[in-house]
Amino acid sequence: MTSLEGRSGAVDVVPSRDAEADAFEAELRPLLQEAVRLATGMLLSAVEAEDAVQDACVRAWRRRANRRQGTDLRPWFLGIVANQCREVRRGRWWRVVRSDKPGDSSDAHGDTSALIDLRDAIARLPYRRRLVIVLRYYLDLPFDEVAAAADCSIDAAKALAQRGTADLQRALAGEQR
Amino acid sequence: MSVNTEEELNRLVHQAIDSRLPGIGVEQRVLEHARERITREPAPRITWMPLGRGVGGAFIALAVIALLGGALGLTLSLRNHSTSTPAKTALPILPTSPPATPPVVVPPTAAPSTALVFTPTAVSFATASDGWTIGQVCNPSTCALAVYRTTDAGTRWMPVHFSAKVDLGNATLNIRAASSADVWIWGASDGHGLLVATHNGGVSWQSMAVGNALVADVELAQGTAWAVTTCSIPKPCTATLFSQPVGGGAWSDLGALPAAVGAPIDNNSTIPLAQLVRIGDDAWILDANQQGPALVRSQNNGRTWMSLPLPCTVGATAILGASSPDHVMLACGNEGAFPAPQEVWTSSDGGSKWILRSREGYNSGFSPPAANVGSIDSGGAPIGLAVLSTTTAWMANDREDDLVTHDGGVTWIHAALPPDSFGGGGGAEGIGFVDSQHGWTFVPGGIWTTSDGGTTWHLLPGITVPAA
Repeated sequence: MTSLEGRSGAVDVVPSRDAEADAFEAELRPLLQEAVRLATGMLLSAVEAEDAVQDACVRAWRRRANRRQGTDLRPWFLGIVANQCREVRRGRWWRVVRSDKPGDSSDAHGDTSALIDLRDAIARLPYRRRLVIVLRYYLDLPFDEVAAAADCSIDAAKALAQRGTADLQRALAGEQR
Repeated sequence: MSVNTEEELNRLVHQAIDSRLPGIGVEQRVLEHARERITREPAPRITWMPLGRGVGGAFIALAVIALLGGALGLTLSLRNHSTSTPAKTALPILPTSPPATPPVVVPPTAAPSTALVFTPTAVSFATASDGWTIGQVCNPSTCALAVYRTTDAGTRWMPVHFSAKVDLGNATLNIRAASSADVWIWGASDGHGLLVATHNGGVSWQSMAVGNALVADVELAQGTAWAVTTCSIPKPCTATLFSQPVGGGAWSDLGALPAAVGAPIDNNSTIPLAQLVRIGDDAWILDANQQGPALVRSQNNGRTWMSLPLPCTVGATAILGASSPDHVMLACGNEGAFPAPQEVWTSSDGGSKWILRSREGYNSGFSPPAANVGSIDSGGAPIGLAVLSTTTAWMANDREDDLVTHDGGVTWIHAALPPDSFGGGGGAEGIGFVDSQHGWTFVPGGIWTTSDGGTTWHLLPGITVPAA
């Protein structure tokens, strides 16, 4: 018996790998926009976000057998995307920070200095606070879904959001941490 | 600017991040590239069942692992990936019995349910037996920094007291071991530079103040450890080279880095990105902090430096290795689409002139086809390079297997390590060799070592920590 058999019930013949990949792709497709938004919020780079979501898709495929039967794909996949973003940050050691396009810079997007400051403050948040801030205030998820994607309790998610908000307020007010 | 209400925060966060979103079509690109990668992967020889749903299969697999792996871990041999085109024909029925030959899939770390697993983020061996690793141990709510060392090639790891304050969510740390006693840990944490060393096996640590600088790399040669620092735009400083005797003692300031490699990090990053390579009195600094990377070389122990040409495409990932003052190898890649464009160049005069040896995906500004240039079947971007001789070098990639060349970089062979052992995206975190035979590579799931020049690799026992 294989993982796929285990997920879909007791059958004797396993669908072809292509068919399984098709089904997986169809399930994943509606979540990609949200995944890209999460990765962008976490990494603040279009190139790295695209990479991270692509890697998360491959990781999700490899670990599809680990998903519990009947559970919602969304928090499971968003959790994988979040973990991937964490690894991207760690793996940047020898990598050039590549510009999204030639001449790209912080103000090339036409953002005000206030938005640049906010983006910088988000980037400096500790990982879990940043994750919860992005899930809550960028993906606009309710706290139960924030908690599911962040793999913590609802109370913990609220506490992290509160601390993250306070961090952002302090940073934007010019206080040094 | 101040944020007083949730609605205001919500609106500003949307505005701040929206401008960074990828362009239209990103979802389709992501799916296409992910699908290509999935299709290129070999069908699983053994599929692991979720607990409770595949106990029988798991036992069969464990028996095979035990037979093939032995007490210390698995032994896998090199395999040659000759398929550059995705295999569109899938297996109609997945095998239900284990294969007769390696490679095999590694089981998840068999840690007791009450134990927490250590995840390495950096590894360094000084000798075949003396190694150090830094990483983190996480429970469902928090993670803690941890340092371990081994004196028996990784059979047993001993925890080392390390009290530096590090924000793990915003830290980039690395480690370099000179012996079982002498070790340096460096990097950046929450935008602050970190450089600490022990010369008594971790009994005590001394910290080097680097001001506003971040510490990019530490390398050993000629009985000294050099640390190269870099600066960020928000915190101006002078990028500097520091030196300390390997056995301990005061740090000395070797002076500011050449301007070519001393520019501050741009692109809002606080992650130091400069690489130091040393062979005897020769040293190279590859500065990846700028949109246009730069390379300089010293032939007199850091007294003077000269700029060298970099053949990589501007904006590429780049990593340097050297086996002698003359023989230097440069691996460049562009992150982004799969497969990532990648090139390997070598120089036989220390980096003044470069020869293209191999490449992949040269459709993104890389050089057109040329004679005597090999192909890299990778898909990842290089993140680690261990150059052992003019012919042999190992490369770690962020998305695929470790690669090895035995012909000076023209042909690259994949090391047969299980795909998902190499992190979520399929790549290793790093690779290194202490000599031509003894090396290591690691992924979040564990550390692999070789004692036969990479012909076989052994997964070291996982480091576990009793849950509090």
